[in-house]
Amino acid sequence: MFTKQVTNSKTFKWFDERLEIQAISDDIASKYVPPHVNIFYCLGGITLVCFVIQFATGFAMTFYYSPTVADAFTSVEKIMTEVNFGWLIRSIHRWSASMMVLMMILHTFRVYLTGGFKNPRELTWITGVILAVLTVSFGVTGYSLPWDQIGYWAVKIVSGVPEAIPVVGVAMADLLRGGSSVGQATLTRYYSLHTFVLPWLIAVFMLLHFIMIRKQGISGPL
Amino acid sequence: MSTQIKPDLSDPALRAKLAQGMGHNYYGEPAWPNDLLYIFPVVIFGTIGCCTALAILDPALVGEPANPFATPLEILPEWYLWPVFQLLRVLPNKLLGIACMAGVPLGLLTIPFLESVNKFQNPFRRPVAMAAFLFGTVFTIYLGIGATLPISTSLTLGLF
Repeated sequence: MFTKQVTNSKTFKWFDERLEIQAISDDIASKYVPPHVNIFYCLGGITLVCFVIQFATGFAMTFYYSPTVADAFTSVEKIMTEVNFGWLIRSIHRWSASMMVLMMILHTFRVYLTGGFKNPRELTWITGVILAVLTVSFGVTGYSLPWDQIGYWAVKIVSGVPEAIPVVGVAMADLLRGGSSVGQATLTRYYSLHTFVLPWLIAVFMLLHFIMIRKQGISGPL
Repeated sequence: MSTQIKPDLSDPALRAKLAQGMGHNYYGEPAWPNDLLYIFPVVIFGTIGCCTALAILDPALVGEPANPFATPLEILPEWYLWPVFQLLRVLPNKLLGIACMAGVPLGLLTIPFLESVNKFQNPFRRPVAMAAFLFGTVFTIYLGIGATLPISTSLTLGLF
């Protein structure tokens, strides 16, 4: 993988003595891409790239967004009008969110149609379904954060949905919105979910998804 | 093409892996540098470029501030929730709607186990699975289109 000039260098040797980086290099260099792999096998990777875009643009917006009922809307307005390239960052976040879901759906179609989920890859499919649920949860929680008319009424409808479940429904709905009605507690919870809980969960399940792919290699031809 | 290597079928370790449905990353063209160094950046920068282009051509809007006293006339979630939204809206029983909604991921989880009855990967050798897939896809799109229409015409799509 590396040229002779690199592997003979003092720096490379220094790291190799301590961390055996030659082994990592050999592992990567020993991997091949079979001929049945085509352009549709890119879709999962594109979904990951969209997620990385979401991570970077979302991180940038946390500098200017304030998650309070009084300030959320004006802070988003400020991102769109005053902050340098804030409009671009937020617009990319919006588009990349849609594209992440679209690419994820198309990736699911590819995996389903090529039978990639079959033995021995059932667990990769299961982590994939969990990742899909997490991705949609990102969308649901993020939709309300600007606290505009659409976001407010969306959270009002969404957070009331579990109420129809018998026995535990009302408690579940109250837990999700932090009280019996939509307000500051709801926005705080959605913000915390969107920027803390869900990113950690998705990181864990993405790691599992990728470890299993690395372990088993790409699925075979039809 | 000249860099392609064929699977070494004289290697018992590889044969055992292939029999288990694994080891398909040991033949073909080298992942490094062909894919990892040259194609990955194309896909990564292409994705970033496409998202940026869409963002510039159609930037996100600033709506109106939330007003708890003014219910909007029509409300739609993000496009990927339209089919589920339509289910919740059309089904007379709310609990049934929630059950259907939860049934989407739960149903997807059962797929590898239900389909283990047929070992083939090729869609042409999975006729039942393909029929279910095509029907499910068309039905989901139908529900999604219905969600954008007024409730009176949403089931017929205004066609009948």
